[in-house]
Amino acid sequence: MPTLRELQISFAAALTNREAAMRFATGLRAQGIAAERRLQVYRNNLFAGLTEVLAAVYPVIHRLVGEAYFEQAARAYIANYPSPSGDVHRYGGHFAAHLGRSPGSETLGYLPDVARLEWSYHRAFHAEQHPALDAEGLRAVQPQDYPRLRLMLQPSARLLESGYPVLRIWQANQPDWTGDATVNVAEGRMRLLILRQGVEVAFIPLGIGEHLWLQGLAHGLTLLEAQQRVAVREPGFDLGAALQCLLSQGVFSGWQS
Amino acid sequence: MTVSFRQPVGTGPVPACAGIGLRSTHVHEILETRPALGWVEVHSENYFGRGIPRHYLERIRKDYPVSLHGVGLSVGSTDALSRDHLAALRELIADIDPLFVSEHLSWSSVGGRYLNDLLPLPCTEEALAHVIARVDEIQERLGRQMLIENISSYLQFAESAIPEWEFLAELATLSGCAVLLDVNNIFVSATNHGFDAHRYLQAIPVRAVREMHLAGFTRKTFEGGEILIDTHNRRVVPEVWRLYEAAVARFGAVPTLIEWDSDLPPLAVLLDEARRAQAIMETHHAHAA
Repeated sequence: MPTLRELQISFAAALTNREAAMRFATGLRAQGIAAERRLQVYRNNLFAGLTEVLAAVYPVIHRLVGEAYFEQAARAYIANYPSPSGDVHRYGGHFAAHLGRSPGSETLGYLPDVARLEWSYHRAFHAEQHPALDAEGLRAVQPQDYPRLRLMLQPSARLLESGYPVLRIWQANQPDWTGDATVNVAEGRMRLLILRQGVEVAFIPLGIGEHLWLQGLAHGLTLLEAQQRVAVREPGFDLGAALQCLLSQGVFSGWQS
Repeated sequence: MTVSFRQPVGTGPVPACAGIGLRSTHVHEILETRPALGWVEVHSENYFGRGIPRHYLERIRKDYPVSLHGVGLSVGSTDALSRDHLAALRELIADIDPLFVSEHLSWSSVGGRYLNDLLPLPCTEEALAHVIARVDEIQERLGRQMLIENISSYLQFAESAIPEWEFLAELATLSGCAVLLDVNNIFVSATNHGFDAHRYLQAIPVRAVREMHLAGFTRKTFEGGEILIDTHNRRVVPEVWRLYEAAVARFGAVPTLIEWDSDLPPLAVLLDEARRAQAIMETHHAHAA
């Protein structure tokens, strides 16, 4: 008799591998309906369940590629990317890269970045929001401490840069969108901050300098280090204006010096 | 039909009345209309991490008792319990102060891979000892009693030597967990495996049952017969209502939940199903008085 662990390992294998399923089926009781068919109910639960999870996270991708392509892409994803958590809201984080490698996706170069936008939205939706740091909160910092100040971003904050107008693509594919439905995919590069604001998730378009600067802060650079990083590539960057704007949006949760 | 949702005297802090599974589609309507409803139950994992869903759950909690029903802790798995999952659940419990915290008599992961489904355990002495130890550990780490629910199953292991009802009764007795009796799951499994649903009810200790579930299922035809699948996408069938009456006669009027998770109907349909369960509980009280 197999141990419980052996049984669980062979059951899990049987859900994704046909040969493993045939072997596993011999250890099941056959009553009327073949054991292999019974196993199929669980296989279907696994694939249909996680496909539903992916469709809920990626509604715009679903709309762009259509039901049949989405299901095929989801099936291949589920077979290749095991779910690492009992919380299904953590599943699907590599779908963008998977789409980039899916057959036929060469003609839809923007798909992976649209998927990245949807994943960022999803994670921001489920992220905690700390009280925002405001200008008042920064007054406690001594001026001489500014250069080595580290600003902490909200847990929901995510940065996205794309060669495609992915925000416009996302907006034009919302169920309640009434604006212009045509998007020029050659519009040019865009940079975006995705951030939870109360019960909404906001998309905040960023300039090149702001994007570089926030990227630095997100990686733990001090204000001075982040500023130097920007200065090399974007000499006209106005740190004061950017800081004021981002503080008013509630991007930061605190500081360390 | 009008049925009051008053709390019967002498049952302690737990309202012996009907509730519904809360899905995000209905949250705004419930907040706006505040329907007469004993309590609501949510899938714990949907509210992990203090995100936007948590904000709404906290608002719901101001008006209704909330029960936390987990689907991802993988109680029967032979992997170590997930620390992250337990930590997220502990935080949710601390914030929401739930009526009950429940999970399933099943497993869903092995070797770090989650199948995100409620998979059956073989009913063996080894599995029983394992699940008792796991439930002990979970209860200790959460610092509270768990309710463990019987699942629907579609296959049986050749190794299973103990009837499922004895397995569940032993688990409740030895781990001190309570039982969340899913009446629909008993009906589904009894039909799929050819056992007597009433025999299942008779085997469960009366005092162990703290909550019941009711739901709808789907029939799927295969070569060689039919399998009932627990899909939570329709009304409770008459046979399950009758089995529920038998369950209430044995276990008394315990908090009962209408579960409906896909192909969601208007809220009014869920409330109607809840009223029907409530009426059965009230009839039981009238007879018992």
